[in-house]
Amino acid sequence: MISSALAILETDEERKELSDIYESNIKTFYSIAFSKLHNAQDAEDAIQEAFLAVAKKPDIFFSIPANKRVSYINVIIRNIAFVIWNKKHRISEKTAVLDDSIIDDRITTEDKVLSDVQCIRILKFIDSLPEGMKAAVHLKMNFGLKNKDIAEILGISEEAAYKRVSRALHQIKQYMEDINNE
Amino acid sequence: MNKSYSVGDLISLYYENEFAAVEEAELPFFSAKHKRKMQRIFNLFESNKARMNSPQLIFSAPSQLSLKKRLIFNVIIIVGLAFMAGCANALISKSLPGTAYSDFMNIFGYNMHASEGYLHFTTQIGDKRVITAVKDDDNIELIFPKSGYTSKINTDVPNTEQTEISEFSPICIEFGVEDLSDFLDV
Repeated sequence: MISSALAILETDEERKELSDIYESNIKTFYSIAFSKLHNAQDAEDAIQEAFLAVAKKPDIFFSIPANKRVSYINVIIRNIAFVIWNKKHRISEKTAVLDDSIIDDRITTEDKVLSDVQCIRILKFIDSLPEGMKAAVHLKMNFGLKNKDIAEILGISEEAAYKRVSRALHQIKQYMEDINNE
Repeated sequence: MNKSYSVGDLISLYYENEFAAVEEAELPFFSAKHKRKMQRIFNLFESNKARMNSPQLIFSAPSQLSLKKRLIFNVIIIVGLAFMAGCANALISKSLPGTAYSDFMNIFGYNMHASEGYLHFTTQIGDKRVITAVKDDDNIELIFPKSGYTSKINTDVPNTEQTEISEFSPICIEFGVEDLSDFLDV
């Protein structure tokens, strides 16, 4: 009985936390969505969809450190904004033309020593990757999400999430090595 | 100057730069629909989180259907119920032991039992024609075609004539006993 009551109290506080995040950062959320969509209604929709994805999986939300939760929502909103924009303009997201054989769990993300110039070049390369791929690898590398969680948050299959992460890592790693070899 | 970066660092840096570069947009007045939906999302978050913390607790999930959709569903249910009631009515009417005249939708001969001084006959003419007859001592008989058959079938009986006993004609057939006995197993 007591544990049930505590659970409800905890829930209430956590719910408040989510609505607090919304209230405190709505301007940032809206700006991120609007910067891509340039339409108030679509931006509203993107925010709603992002929060719905979070609400459906509270366990993922609470597995992320508190100081990273706003960034986490930012990434989801941005990804959804791209999806809405692509749908509206009938653009299918670029799919990597790599063979499935390149997908390899052994891909490592070991540190690379890079100059600032090289770093800028890599960031430009990352920018050229499809948004879904970037979001997937970001959720994996910086928020520690599993492929299953990434799939649920991005609204894709687990296999697709796995492929996106693997391909993005492979391409970035390849590019980093190419730069180092120059 | 050289620095050490992992792919994760680079991706994180990319997103930091991207979000920092976003121009701050003027916040619009959000629609009531948006506010309603956000409230529903927070409620959903609450129930999902509570379920996650205490799986033994059962919460009724808030309805995800919009007002418009719920309205449409309700209308469909009402129309469906009305249709089913109509079907049931038609079924019951047809199964009544008497005649339903399609012209006026009057049911005659419900629970037909011959009154005192009358005899009750039932027979079949051909494949379809089922006739219920009530005869009195004066050789005046009333013939009721059963549900689904028009009264015209009675005129096939030789030497019968149709009479009107009300504005709902014809419901009454008059004929002689000897004519009827050809067709009825008296």
